[in-house]
Amino acid sequence: MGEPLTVEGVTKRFGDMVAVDAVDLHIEPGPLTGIIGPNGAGKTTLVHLLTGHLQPDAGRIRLGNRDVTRLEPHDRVRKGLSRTFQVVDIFTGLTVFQNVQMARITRAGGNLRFFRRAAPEHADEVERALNEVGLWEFRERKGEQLSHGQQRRLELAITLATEPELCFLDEPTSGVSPHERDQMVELIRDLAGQRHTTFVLIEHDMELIFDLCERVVVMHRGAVLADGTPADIRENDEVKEIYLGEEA
Amino acid sequence: MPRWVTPLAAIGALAVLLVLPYVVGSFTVYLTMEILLLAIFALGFNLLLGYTGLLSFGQAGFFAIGAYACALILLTAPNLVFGIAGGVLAAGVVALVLGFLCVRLTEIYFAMLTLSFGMMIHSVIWRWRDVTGGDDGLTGIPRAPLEVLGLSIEVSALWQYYYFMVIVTAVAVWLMHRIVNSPLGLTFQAVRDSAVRAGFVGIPVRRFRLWAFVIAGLYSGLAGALLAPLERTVTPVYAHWLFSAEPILASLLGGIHTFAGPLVGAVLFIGIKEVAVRYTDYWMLFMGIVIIALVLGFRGGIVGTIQRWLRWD
Repeated sequence: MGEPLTVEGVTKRFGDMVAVDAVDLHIEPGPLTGIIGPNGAGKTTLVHLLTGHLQPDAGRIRLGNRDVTRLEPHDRVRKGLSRTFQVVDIFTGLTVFQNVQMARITRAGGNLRFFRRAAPEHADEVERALNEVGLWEFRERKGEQLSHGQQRRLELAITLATEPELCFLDEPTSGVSPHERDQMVELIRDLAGQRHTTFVLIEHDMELIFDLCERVVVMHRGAVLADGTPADIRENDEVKEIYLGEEA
Repeated sequence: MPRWVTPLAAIGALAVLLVLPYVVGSFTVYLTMEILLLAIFALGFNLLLGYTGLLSFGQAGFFAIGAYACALILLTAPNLVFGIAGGVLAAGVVALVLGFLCVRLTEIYFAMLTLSFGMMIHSVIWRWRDVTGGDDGLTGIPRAPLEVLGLSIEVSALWQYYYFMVIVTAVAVWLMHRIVNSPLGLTFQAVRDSAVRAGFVGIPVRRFRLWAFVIAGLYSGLAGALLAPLERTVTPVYAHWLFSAEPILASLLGGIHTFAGPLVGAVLFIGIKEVAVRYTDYWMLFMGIVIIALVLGFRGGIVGTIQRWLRWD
């Protein structure tokens, strides 16, 4: 299985606001990790920094022994780092089939082929991936024609089709119906059990995190407040105060 | 869309083009040649707009480079193969260099940059009198014979050159159809739909925008190269940004989200212009009204609208 991700002193400022403040974090391959925190805690910004969507103002990010701090997203994807977005991001004009196929073609380095038909490329793999998320029957539909919950699952299928070693899921259940939420939770549980992929879940839905994750990282005001097993976190007084207390 | 539509449309269009000179007068043949030129030009443009999501206002620059390069070659080495190939290649090389700078930006910033570079090419052509003839342009360009593998095919008569253009256009359209349906074409469309998601499946977005830009440049150059021996004269007008509007309008008329849109749009554009010009000097006004009607009433252009009616989308 993959390599650990090491984050040292990573900082991001937007004007006067310090969104992520000198975060140190070590993510080992294997356990399903959850990052929680109140709105504005810097969870999503941290993921943006780790995946290359944003550049940090300070600090270092290493994958195994390689420094990936300044790599562009597409280069990090090749090194096994991928993600989904809080606001679903798929190829709306492509069919469901093509959405996943695009990831497979890219993974195989076949984007420059201009003289062969794309349609049959990687068809078996795409079929398997779409069956996994229950979207095979919708393969001919365009991405924009799916329901929100289906789009979420499609985004997950696209992301997994890049064969990430480390995969960040940014609020994978936000905006979906309770039924679809349960489906998504089961799906993540299954995937985490089967695959050679380490998932990191970003959520403000604590119940979901405690339910799924083996390790929980709590962020508050841009910094890591606590880091431990779900049981540790439940008992942590500081966490109760800033986060659990808020909801109670 | 049923499978038979594309081959049937292709065969039908080719059949009409092949018999046309036997049925209509030479003026209509000439108009058809204008349509073919615009069809190639618009097809390349729409690879950028419809398939990759980049609006270029500078395609006339590459058209003019193709036209001038072809003209200069034919004036010194009268072989049509060299002329056309040279024109295409020159446009492609310039598109590679300017595209490298343009694809750093997107949306309106990309559009403005292409506009500036297009007008820069126009100024160079206008000022570099020794080579380009300045505002007089280049004249007396021969419709040189097509010399390949020891064969010499005469294309000096209008009908001969017409058939040459039909063949070149058919190959260009077929090749573009292969490209948009290939993994490369799929990659362009992925970049169009979401550059961020494209990056996160591992696609180097800027590099593929550049490829689209170069292919569009090659097609613009081809259209320009074909123009030089047809008109036998090239002037800086073809580099002006107003001329960049022609493929844009043709693509909008036909529909940017269908392969056939720019082709049908080229027929409509030349047709409308030809009819309107007979009644008024203000034919652009008429064209403008048609475009407004289309944008308001026929979203997706003529081809897109018809596809929706037939539920083929």
